[in-house]
Amino acid sequence: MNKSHGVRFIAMLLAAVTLLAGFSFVVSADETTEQDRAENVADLTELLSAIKYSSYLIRHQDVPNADQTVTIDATAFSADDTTAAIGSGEDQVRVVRYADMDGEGNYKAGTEKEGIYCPTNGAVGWKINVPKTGMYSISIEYYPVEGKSSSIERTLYIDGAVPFYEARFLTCSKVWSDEYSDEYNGTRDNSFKQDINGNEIKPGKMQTPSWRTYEFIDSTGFYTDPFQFYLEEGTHVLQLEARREAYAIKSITLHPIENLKSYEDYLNQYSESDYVSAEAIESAQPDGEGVIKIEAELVHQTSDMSIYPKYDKSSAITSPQSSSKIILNSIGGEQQWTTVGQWASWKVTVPKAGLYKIALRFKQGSDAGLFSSRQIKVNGKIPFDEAKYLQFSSGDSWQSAYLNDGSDENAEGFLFYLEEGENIIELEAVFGNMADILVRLNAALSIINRAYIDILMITGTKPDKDTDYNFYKLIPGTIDNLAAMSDELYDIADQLAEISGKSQNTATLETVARLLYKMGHKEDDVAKNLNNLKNNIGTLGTWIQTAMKQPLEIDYIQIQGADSGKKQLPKAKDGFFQSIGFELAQFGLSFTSDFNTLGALEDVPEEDTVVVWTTSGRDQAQIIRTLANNEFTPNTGINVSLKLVAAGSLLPSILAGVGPDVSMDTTSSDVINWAIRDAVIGLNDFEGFDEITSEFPAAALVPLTLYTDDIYGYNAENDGPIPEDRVKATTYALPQTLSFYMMFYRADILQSLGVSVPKTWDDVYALLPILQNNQMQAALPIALAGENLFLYQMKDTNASFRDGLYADNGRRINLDSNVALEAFDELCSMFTQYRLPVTYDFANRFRTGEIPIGIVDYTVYTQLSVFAPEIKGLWDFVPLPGWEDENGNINNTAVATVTGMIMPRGNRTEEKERNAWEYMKWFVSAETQSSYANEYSAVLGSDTKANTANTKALADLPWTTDEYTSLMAQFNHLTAVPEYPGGYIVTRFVESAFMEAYNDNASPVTSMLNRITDINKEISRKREEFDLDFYEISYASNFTESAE
Amino acid sequence: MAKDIAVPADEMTGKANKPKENKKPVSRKDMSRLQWTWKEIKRNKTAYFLVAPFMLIFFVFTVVPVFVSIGLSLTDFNMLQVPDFIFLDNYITLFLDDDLFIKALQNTLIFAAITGPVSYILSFVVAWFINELPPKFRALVTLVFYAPSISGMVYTIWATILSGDSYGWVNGFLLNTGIVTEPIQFFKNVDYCMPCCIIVALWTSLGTAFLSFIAGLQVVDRSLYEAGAVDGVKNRWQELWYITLPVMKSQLMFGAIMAITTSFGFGAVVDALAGNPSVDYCAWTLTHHLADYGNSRFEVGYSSAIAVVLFALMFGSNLLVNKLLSKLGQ
Repeated sequence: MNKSHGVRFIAMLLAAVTLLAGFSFVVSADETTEQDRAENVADLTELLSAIKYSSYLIRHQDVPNADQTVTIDATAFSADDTTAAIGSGEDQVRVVRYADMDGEGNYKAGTEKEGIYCPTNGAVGWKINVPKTGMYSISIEYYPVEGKSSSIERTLYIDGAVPFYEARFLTCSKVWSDEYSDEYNGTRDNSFKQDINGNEIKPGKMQTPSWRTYEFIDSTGFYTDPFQFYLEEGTHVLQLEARREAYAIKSITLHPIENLKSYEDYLNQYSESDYVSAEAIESAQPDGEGVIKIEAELVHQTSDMSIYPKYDKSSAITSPQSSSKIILNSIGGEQQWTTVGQWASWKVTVPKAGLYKIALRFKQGSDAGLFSSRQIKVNGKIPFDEAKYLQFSSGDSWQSAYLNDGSDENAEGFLFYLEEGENIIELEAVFGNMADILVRLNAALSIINRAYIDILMITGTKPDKDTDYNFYKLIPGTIDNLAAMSDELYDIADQLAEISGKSQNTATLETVARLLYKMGHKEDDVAKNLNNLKNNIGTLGTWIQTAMKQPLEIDYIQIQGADSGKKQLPKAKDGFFQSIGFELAQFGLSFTSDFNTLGALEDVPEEDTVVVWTTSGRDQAQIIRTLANNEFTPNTGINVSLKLVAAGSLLPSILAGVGPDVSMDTTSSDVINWAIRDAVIGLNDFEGFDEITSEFPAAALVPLTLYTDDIYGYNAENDGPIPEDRVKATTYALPQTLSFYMMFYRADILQSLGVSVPKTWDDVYALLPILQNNQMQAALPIALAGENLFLYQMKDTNASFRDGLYADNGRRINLDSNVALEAFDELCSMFTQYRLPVTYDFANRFRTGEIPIGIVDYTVYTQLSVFAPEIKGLWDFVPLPGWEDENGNINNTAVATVTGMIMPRGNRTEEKERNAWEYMKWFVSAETQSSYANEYSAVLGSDTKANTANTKALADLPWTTDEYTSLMAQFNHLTAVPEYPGGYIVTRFVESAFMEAYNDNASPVTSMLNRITDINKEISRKREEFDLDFYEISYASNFTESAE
Repeated sequence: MAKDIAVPADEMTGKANKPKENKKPVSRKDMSRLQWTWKEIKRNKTAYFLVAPFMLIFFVFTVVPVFVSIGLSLTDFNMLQVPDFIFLDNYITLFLDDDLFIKALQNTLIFAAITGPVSYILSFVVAWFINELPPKFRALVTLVFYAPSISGMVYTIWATILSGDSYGWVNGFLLNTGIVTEPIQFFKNVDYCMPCCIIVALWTSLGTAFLSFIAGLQVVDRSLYEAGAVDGVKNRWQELWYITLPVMKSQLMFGAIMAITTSFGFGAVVDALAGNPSVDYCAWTLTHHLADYGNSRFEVGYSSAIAVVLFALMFGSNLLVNKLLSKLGQ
């Protein structure tokens, strides 16, 4: 099969060309030139239309392969072609020396090498003299310096231009190792830390960098061979521009593409005596029963911090296993180690050099029921071509097999040559034989997506069955594309059937193909089936995402003699009685396990511990516990007892006097509600308060602070504004999470509408009719969130931050001010004049393109990354639009909402109070929040980003440079609304006013004014209750209610 | 009342005292009421013992809270600080200075007046019809009708059916047929909110009362119908009015009490569908009002006053229904 691989690849390329013919702008586009970031649509057009690698190869198909190798020393970089800062500073281009680190975090003697440091920003360039025109592969020797958790990403420019789209995302991995217990000596016993009950604790991850070689290759894994670049004879400038993270480069090598030996040739190199028999292993290692067993959880190094030892309880014979305790006994799984490019390596020691078989006990529960693929590197090299296509079949339970490529002739497993002593075996997730199917499917999907949007723009989301839309006249190319994609999908289904048999997977593809055939060949069926098409695009996108995952969980690896066969395979499944016994034992022991102390390292009396309550999920609680055990307790000597409680249990427990010392995840309104009733301790007087609060944006503290003043009988008209020095601000919580609105848009749709991303509200007003004409809508927050959005952008920038929604330091609502009414009018007119939707599911409509632009919470980023794979790379998020003043400045302030961490009032000693404060300070600090966020991504997936309030920690998250720039642009323009007594009433009445204006077309101003007295009355009532200064409100004194 | 009880008790004790006949018979008039009660308690101690666990729990968790609540309604308790006694201030504010309370009262009465009787009559009629079916089929149909109320939060399906999104079922239908051009915000529009909530409430209302009616219909002795036929009952309506209903009076009473409590305590459905609070408080009921003051504003004193009013309303309507039911068959 692999011999035909190259042929198929060419066939695929040809097919792609035919397809792309209908996709005119792709083919006509030239190589992209240097640009900053895809901020406006002109840039985006270029980005989207950049030539793909497949077309690049076709364009240069007549160019001969290079036959010479050129290596340059990276330290001799060209300063003229370098945009990054050069100097001796921390993040600047400079010559550095680094040594390799082993798995335990110690530097290895004699491995030190010199290289050039390439910082996290800007490009570093080199001049390279190419001796002869040809197709070259490029590799670099790099050192992944310690940094954030994400991989290193670079964009390659050759002579100032990105050669093809995929060269924008050259990704080289970092190197991670597990932090084993102090007793670790290379064997399984006592290698992990244990809690007081003997449960093993998930080890921490540390970066253990070493000099590695990176061959420029597609980071998405669609092209399994290294990239080839067309270079003419002469001097060229090579630039690597930073997208994420820093690294050091020692050398750059241009070389002809290496063709790997076939397995047959590989074996032919070795003589009969190189075959190591099981007996030979046994005589060298008498206790090993003729095999060498490596527990997979004792991993040597990994590419990602998300690949870590796990515990499997599904089988009684997973080794090692315990019915009562948590024993870390496997690695990988359905969530971790599934992304192409991620690898894990193990140290293998064999008694003599020679050929061995490698067997695995593994589990592979792919959702699609497809095989998953790995490529193996032995001591850093792929031994033969077939080793790139190792297959692991899917199944519900544990399996065992020799490493093989799924073909019949190699079913008995490959032999690998291992050196005497220590070897490193590395398994990397790849697409294997699925690669070309996935390339074709992705190309097809984007064309279908495009066609859907073209049709949508004509018909809207609810096409009329009986209207003749005349598609063949209006969009003939689109309809032809549908027909072509139908053929393409049928063809892909056949190819899939060939490698994995007919299954529900091929059926999925055929269903879509059938629909496309109907729509592509019968005009009447186009409008009728539009909804169907939308659903099928979703199905296809989800299917591709599932098929792209390469899950594999390994229990252990066995090195066996070359003469072993099926009989010597490790036992995969436990016996029936073994399994029943194990389950029963687990069930019985579950009654006695103390889940509250899960992960506690020491048994300490309750009096000496800080009791912390959290209402977050179990995973988050587990992360916090691990962090506290590893960092907080050892450094401070303070023990933490973390309890997961149900939301709403805090107040009763404070009342009963059994509350915790610290409570996490409290909403800002609760914080202030409890604070005014004296149930929470003010934090301002604690030691280090000012230092810790300086780590957050100023806006983060505002909603957690109660602003009072000592003026009684205040009257705004007579007394003028409240002097700042009479205002007392007491902060009652430290901010944990912070979120705010940003603008998300579909770049592909805005591009085809020919509009740019709005920067001001005037741009938005110009955009809305265009969207409407094309049957699309925009999303905007309603009611109070919408009102705040406009109000805080429109209000006088010189006014106190406390004035906005409220006035006179919370004595009255300010919604009857001119600016607030204007803001409300503006908001309502968006909905009444442009009929923006009030109720909608943003993520869903964004993915289908019905709402191509919307202002939503920035955390939607996570949802879209995970939930809408089919539009990956087609959307972006930017700061909010704003109002432009005379000087051309745009005020695009966003209102932040926060949750915080409080210290409830209770009977505790001064020392305990201090300890609780230490814990609070520690948890919200940049370092802890960074670790927390990293662990959070490791557990919940790399696209899941914690919305921490800590400025530095947020910056430390693995954002791409573009995402980071946008995010920070908004982060630096945040404001917040203070919480005042009676605040709950505002939300209600503003929503009522909004809905009245929307439903009944009532005047927004009247609707709002009608409710002002009611709001003020409630505020005064509450203020009176808490002995704060208040206004006497009566209906008569304010204004007469309108007849409406 | 005491006298009514005393007479049959006297008769019964006569029998029990037989062995001590030579002594002077003790009569009710010879001792004080307290002494008499104590004597009775001692004599029936087994019964008291058996009923004690229930009474204890009932007393602690139902009766005491009612009185505590009445007590708290006279204070300004806020859950976190020591309350002050403020006598009737809460009630005065409630009736004279709380527009929202009046609105809640109004809504509650509308809800109760519509859902109470309608669901009660509906339950009965459906039960009556179902009762005519063959037993196996009857069991199945009973399950179908009872299902909405056993499956807990099942009414949230109406959030999808009546969603304000253009993909909501009803809106989707209305848009497709061209009846409307914009999705109707059923639960966010003052005009639609209440009716929609009432419809959903009715749908879920075939609850416990319905089951007890089915049970009640089955205990009616067949021979009574035969006797009725002999005595001149002409049609099913007469049969129903003169025989069936009087016989199952206790089930009807039970059903009525259930209907009243659910219709007055109606709130969870509104919360789930229209949000809390509903737009412009259009579906605001007394349970909302009291939960709002109790939970969001921490004004437990005031909230207790609302609870007391609600309690009085339920109690009053129970008495009324009792009166009405006693007229059955007359």
